[in-house]
Amino acid sequence: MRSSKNILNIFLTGYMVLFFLYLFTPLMFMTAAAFNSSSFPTFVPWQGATLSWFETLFKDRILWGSVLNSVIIGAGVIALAVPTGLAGAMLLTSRGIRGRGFLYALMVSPILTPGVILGISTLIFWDNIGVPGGIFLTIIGQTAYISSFCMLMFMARLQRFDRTLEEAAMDLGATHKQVFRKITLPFLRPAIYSAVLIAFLQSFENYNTTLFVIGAETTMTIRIASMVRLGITPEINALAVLFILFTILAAVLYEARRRDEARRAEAAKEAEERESDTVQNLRLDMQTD
Amino acid sequence: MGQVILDKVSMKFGDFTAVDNVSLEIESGEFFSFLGPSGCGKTTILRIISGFNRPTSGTVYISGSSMEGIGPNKRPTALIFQNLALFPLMSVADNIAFGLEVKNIGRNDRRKKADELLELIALTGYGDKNINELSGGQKQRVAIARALAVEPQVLLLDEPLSALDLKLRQHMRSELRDIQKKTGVTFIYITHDQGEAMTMSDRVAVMSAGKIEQTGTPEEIYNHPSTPFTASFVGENNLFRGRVISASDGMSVIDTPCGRFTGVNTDGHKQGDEAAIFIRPERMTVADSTEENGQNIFSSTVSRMEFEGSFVNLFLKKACADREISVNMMNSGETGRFRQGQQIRIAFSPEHSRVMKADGKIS
Amino acid sequence: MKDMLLRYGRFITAYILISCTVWIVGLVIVPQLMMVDYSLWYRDETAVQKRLEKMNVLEDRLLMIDSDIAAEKYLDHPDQAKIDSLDAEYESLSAEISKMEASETSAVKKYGMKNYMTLFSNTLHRSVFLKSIWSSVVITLLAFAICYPVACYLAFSVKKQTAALLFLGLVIPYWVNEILRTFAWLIILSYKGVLNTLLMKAGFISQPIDFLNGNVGVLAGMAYAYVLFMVFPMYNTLSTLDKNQIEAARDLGASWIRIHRRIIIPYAKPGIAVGSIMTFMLAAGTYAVPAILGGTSGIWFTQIIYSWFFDGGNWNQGSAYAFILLLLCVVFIAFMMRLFRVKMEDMAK
Ligand SMILES: Nc1ncnc2c1ncn2[C@@H]1O[C@H](COP(=O)(O)OP(=O)(O)OP(=O)(O)O)[C@@H](O)[C@H]1O
Ligand SMILES: [Mg+2]
Repeated sequence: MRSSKNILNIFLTGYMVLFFLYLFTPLMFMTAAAFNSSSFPTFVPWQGATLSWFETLFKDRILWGSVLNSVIIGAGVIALAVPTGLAGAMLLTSRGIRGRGFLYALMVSPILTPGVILGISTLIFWDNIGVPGGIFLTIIGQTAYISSFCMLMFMARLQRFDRTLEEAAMDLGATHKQVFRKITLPFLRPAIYSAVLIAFLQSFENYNTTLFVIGAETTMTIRIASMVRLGITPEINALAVLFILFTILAAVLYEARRRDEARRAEAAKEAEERESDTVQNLRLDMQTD
Repeated sequence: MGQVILDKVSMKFGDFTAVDNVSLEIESGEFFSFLGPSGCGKTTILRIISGFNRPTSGTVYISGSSMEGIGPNKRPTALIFQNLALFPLMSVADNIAFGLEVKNIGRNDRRKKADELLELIALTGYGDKNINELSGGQKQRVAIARALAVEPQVLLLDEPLSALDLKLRQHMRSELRDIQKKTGVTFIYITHDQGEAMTMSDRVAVMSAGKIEQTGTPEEIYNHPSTPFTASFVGENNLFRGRVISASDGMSVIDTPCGRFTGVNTDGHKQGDEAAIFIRPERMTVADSTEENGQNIFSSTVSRMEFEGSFVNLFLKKACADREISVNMMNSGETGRFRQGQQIRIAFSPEHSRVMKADGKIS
Repeated sequence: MKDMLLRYGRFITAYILISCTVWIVGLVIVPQLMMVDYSLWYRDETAVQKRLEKMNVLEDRLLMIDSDIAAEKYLDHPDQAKIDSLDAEYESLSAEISKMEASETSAVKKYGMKNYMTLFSNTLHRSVFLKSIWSSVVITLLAFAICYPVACYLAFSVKKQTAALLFLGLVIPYWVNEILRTFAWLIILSYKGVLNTLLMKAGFISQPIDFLNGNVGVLAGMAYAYVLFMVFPMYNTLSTLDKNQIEAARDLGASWIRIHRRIIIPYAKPGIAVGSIMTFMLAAGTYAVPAILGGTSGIWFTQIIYSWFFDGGNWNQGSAYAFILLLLCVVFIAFMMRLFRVKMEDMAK
């Protein structure tokens, strides 16, 4: 019994090692190739280390222009999808909504719809009113499904919200708007931050929807894809290296914050224990009174 | 005229009637309690008064004006929630001054008011603490201070002590009463704990299944219950069921399996009605002599005894009654003479016995 | 509705309702309905032909009138009445022509199932469509097989702290752009790429293998790109499973396989359903991976759709294909929900 469990564990651990190798080896190849002077992105054969591909990358006007477009689109998506997702979450967490299950299905459906479909339908719709593909249409097309992601995040937070807080505020004379600004929004703040982050990442990443609605413009992802398809050089690898570094940095920061929070939670728990001591003392006080 | 008036107020949730045609007047400066079992509609009434629920029918008047169409933020009431609902992201002082903040009152005035109230609730110097750093009783008092800060005419409290442990609860009772005396604000208090209702209130309304059973001072409620529900819900009561054989002069005679008893006719029932006679355990005595003196007498067997120090409970076999009968007597030093299985005679006087119509089930 | 008014007040409620309506109706439903509408009509080529012929006749007549008027005017004694009547005819004809020009599209718009029929009649498209479906199913199964042990390991075999760290390790490749992830496999699989070079150095092959012309590259790249969409939902559900259940079953002597079959998998159902739906949807709807790794023969259904829009210029045809893809995903979702008996609400991550 014991030993079979151990064998299983060894097997599983081995499997995990293989799995992580599977995940990271391609990324490592990609990284290594960024420093190879070979004009084809590979690291075998090694033709000497170089940083010239980074130089090429930084001088690539078109690419940085497309990055700027991506940032603009990301900002637009944040501006539209975060408030919309919040509205959706507020709608679905209200009581007495008829057909909630159906509404919910409708409102998460954009996540489950292939991106190309969203792109195509947006393109057709706006073409009919005479709006051609471009940055605006890309923002619209991406908002359709990124709103759903934001909505899910807000819902998770709102479900943990104690509604009596809103009622208490209103009972004390606050107007609906004051309640929203002073009670609901502060409670939602962490969810807003993550919604903004996720909305931006999703928008930055997006390819399938953007492909159909970007028109003559270009975004970073679109640009990379066309670079990959028409003539690859290790410049893309250099970009990938930046990406990976950025991601690792973000991951480390995130982990640090998580640990910090865990420590704070620990401290809060201790405080609670101290509190029950206080109650004990209070009781003693009362008895001696 | 009362400060808070409920005029034929009903509240339905779908087919379910949570509050059923309640009419009542609460005087200014009164400590008024609603007492009733869980789910009888107490919170709903409070939410109707504070404006969170709109009654299906009927009207609420506060200080003479109808509250119809007036939102909770415009009523001269303040509600203390069952779970307190303190704002976790604000400091103690910010919590207390919230009602002033939303009226755009300056920071300094807010701080001054908060300090005053902190003094009232004996938490001077706690203003900058976080809510989570307070103990249960302290949170309780902060919630009261926060409600008082808006200077309400009526303070509504929804089982505010239920989350505290026994000792603290008893301590807070007197503290609440003190605060009410000091401020002179009308308190409407909700509880399912009769001890709380009895010790603190000027008047109590006993509720059951959305209806008000009886309203009165704690003494009236306890000594002169007018419905079977009140009689059995408030305090202990023994009951014998039977049929009324005569009803006159405010007194009734009722035939029960334990014997023929006389008691006060509380609800004007007629001869032949199904009824029950209620008598408190402490109003029963063990009859030594055989003479009756106009007392109600019956005999039964001791089934068990509970010794509680200053008094003793005798439990009698329920042979002739619906439930076990309990007799409560002061410990006079000679209670040792009762034995399990012993046959004894019990006497109780008609003026302490209350006969009322009871055709249904009595909880 | 009443609850929302009481809770949020008129202003915010109005905002919520308007915002949700604009989003769901304006950005999702109406555009998709319009896509369906597009898929149902086509340009009737014979009508186009007929109309062109008719317009030519009219234009010829117009020229004739023009010269007639000129000839009449050239005479010494022009017949004013004749000129007037010719002028009138000229006016009415040119009005008719401009009307025909204005109604160019509507005149030849014809509703019918023709666009859908194309998929059945065109053998290439049909085979690409079927291949896309089964490949997506294969990738989904593959992703499940790869991820199940990973999710179990993270949920049961390590402490919460370690699991969080490992989890982060999973997130890093997930955050790297999909195109770049695919590009990494291009480096490995290309003709002069890493794998071929290594295999040749090791002496297994003498000629490089063309991985990129066919389905191998596409499948490998897709499995890599979407494997994590299976891990996350599965881990999310499994991590809430009470480990005591497993211990209890083990104490009762349940075999290892039985524990998985009777306890873990039933519990993980919502996660498996979400993971499968996401993986299938992403695989069936991908454009980038086959475009990068598929070469000319590893073509994908989405690429055909794309070319209807931007190479063929036939949006109606493209819409029909897109709608078929959408239907396919809907059917797959419904199938998974039936198979795992989960509701939409259970699937929220
Ligand atoms: N929003 C609502 N929708 C439907 N039913 C409700 C609603 N609010 C209350 N009820 C029902 O009305 C009845 C009375 O509820 P209420 O909260 O007033 O009881 P209570 O006397 O305060 O009980 P407790 O002592 O447990 O707090 C309950 O049966 C409850 O289920
Ligand atoms: Mg209640």
